[in-house]
Amino acid sequence: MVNVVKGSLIKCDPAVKQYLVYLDETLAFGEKFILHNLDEQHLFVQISAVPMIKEKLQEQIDKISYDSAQTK
Amino acid sequence: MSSQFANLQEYIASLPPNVIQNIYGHPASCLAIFRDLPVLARTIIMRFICLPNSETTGQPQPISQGVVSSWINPSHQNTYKMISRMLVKLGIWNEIGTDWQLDATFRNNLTGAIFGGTTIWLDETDSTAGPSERNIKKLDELNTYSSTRWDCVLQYLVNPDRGQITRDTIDVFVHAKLLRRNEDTSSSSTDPYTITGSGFQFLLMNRRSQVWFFIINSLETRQQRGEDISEHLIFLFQLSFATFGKDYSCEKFSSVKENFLQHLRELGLTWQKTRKIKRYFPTKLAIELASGLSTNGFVDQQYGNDEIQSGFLVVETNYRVYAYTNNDLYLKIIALFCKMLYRFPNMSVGLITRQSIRRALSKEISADLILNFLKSNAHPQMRKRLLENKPLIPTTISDQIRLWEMERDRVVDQEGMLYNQFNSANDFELIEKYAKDLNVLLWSNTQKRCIIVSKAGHEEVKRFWKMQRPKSSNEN
Repeated sequence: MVNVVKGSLIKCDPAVKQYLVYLDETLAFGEKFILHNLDEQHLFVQISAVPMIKEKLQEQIDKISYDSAQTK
Repeated sequence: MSSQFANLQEYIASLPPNVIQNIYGHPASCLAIFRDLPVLARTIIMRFICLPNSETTGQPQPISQGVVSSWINPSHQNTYKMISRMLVKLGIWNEIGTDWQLDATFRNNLTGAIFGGTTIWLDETDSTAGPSERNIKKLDELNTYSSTRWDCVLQYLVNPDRGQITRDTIDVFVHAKLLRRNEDTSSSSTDPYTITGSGFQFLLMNRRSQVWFFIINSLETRQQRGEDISEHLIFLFQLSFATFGKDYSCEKFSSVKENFLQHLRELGLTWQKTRKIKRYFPTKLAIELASGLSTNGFVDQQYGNDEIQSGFLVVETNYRVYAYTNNDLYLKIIALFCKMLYRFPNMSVGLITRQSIRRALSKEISADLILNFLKSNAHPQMRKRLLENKPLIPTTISDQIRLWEMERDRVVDQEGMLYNQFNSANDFELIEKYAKDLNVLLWSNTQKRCIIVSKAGHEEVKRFWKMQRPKSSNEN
């Protein structure tokens, strides 16, 4: 028997993947969104979670990046 | 994008046959196209023209292809083949059986253009005499006028909130995909349009290419609107034979042609004191236009201003950009990706920041475009770095700009279907191979027996699996 699931394949670097796993475990979006943890660089997630993932990731990047203009 | 119709022939060849026929109806267009052809093509056409029309039919006399080919040195037969293809595409030649026949209209009008005997192309009534001492100042004025007008049009691209250009011009920009209409009108920004990536590339082209690209798109826009562009094309060709510094009458222009003239006036291709005075002066932009881009580059240099030619940008490792120019247009381009700090009469200082680069990236101005701009306008002082085998732009800067670009898409997502829990390795391999052959396989893993197929390929793979299943389950 073959099982078929609908979702979105996410390709990213290992660091981002770990962050996404963290988001999943802490139920950042209120529920789990990772359907399959495929490998170091790939995740299979719910389609509805993709925009939220991108938004959250951007927020995180903004938080940790240094901008020379902001210090002035 | 500048490769689109890089020369006149390609553009003419792309026009519908009836438009080509129409423009051959005027000697100016025939001569303009003729002089743009390769030397060999011109020689062949000259031989054809010198033959009298056939007595029986009154049509140009056909010549057998074998004879034409025998004119050409055997080692250059490839050039000949290329040229005959080009001439057929341009509608200058027709293949009649095994003969070549020159297009009758083209022949008559080209003969007229070369040997005289046709009417005056542009209405010269009451025209002032050609360039004289008195008119020299006028010539300078015309040059300044055309470059101010064109700069004004370009400035709109960079800064669309200033409504200094007409609806027509905006339409052309949108058609050429240089400007994009803002969908999000609810936001506080009042600009109805933003510049696109290709718009930015457009700004980086030299003036001749810009005008050429713009006019072609302008003609296309008018064509879509249902206007007959052959009249405009003929007019442009006529302009290319006009004398610089001489004025011509537009009294007898039809309203459509008048409208096109006003469009050219706005772009700086023609000068007119007021709409009411029915005289216009063509500027250099118009006169040199019809030769397309094929002519050599030395003409370009007359236009660009000296500081632009030699470069004016200094980029330092501390992310500062010094622009030694007071050209508004260039400063505005720099402001697209820099945070501007200071402005002095001859120099401005900007800072490359993460925010400013991200703002540019969100306008589809890629890191490569920005770096190319910095490189192509680098100050001679910067160019000295090359002698020391250092890259033109400090690596810290170029790398950081690229990193900021990559940061925007750290995740790539693709919708798909995941197949797992296969009964046998055989089933798994069957589907994996099928999906791979269809080029719809996104990801697969043999150990986990898991396959991800793209959304588009799912239906096909499902059908295949249904067909295979009875057979494979029998095997198991």
